[in-house]
Amino acid sequence: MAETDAVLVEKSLEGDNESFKLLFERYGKRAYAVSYGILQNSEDAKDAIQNSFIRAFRSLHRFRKASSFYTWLYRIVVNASIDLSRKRRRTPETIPFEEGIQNSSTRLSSEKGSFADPSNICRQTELSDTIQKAMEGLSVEHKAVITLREIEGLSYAEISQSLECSIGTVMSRLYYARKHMKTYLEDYYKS
Amino acid sequence: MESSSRCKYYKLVGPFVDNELSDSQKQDMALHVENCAECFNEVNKAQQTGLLIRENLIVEPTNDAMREIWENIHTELTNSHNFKTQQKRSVLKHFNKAKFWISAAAALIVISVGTLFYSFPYKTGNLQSNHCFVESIDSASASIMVFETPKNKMTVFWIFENESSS
Ligand SMILES: [Zn+2]
Repeated sequence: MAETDAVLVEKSLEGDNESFKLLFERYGKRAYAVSYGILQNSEDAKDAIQNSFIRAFRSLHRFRKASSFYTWLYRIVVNASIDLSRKRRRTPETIPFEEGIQNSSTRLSSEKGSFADPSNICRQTELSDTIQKAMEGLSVEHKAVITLREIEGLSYAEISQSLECSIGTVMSRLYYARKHMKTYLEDYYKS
Repeated sequence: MESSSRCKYYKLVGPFVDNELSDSQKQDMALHVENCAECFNEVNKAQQTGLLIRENLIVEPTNDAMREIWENIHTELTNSHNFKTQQKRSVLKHFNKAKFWISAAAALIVISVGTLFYSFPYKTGNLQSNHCFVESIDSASASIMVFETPKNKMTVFWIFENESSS
């Protein structure tokens, strides 16, 4: 049976590197998705999660077991991503799925075989660009909320813990972020 | 500015889609959505927005990319001696725990030896010369003998339980 996060944290605190590696294997990809949602740049997202796990390890003794490990970790990831986005104002990239990163819609369509249809590819690229553009228009705080909700599926309470803000703030940021996204996506909604 | 002609349930659309309403609110909202074209439309769009974001923004690094990231993390934590520090912190934590139990055991030994020293002479009746008998208080069930050490005026009681007469 897989060891719980709490056990792995405890063992990491005792100096067991392998346990910390298991935590990385368990949450690394999800942390990457959160960071990418905020930064929209694969190199920056890599740097951010690298920094986040280093920070997490160094402050592991401050982790309170009453909260879940991933909401604690996401707090570090979100902060590291926000710090990085303020430091580097890079242009968001088009998702580079050949460079070791896969976008779920291109993966799904290629699996289904619909990827061969050129008009489909065109529409898909256009949609991806539109979503990127829409995300660019949001502040990092709004990006963080919508990423944690829509990509990670966190509850409002978990988002408020990860972002250290009230549930009311989570709701209003989410409301605003969705309203903003909707204006860009009107042409893509199916009735 | 929000339009004032909006349905009053409009702001509940998000929490409804996110399953954040209480059971009764959820029931109310579900009933409302069936009868309100505006909210029905908004619920539909909110669900599609989530789906489009998930389909287009979820990126997954390959295992090779993740391995590379881990190697960087490992190198950084090893070079800055963080793994060792964590071990030291853990040893220190255990040492503190051990120190507590060692101290507790030592205190117990001191108390036991001390008690033995004090009680031994009385049990055998060989009172030490510096213990002066002060008085004896007798009752039906027990006798209490009171001694005093002249040096520090410490009063020592010794209780003898009388054996019940059958
Ligand atoms: Zn309505």
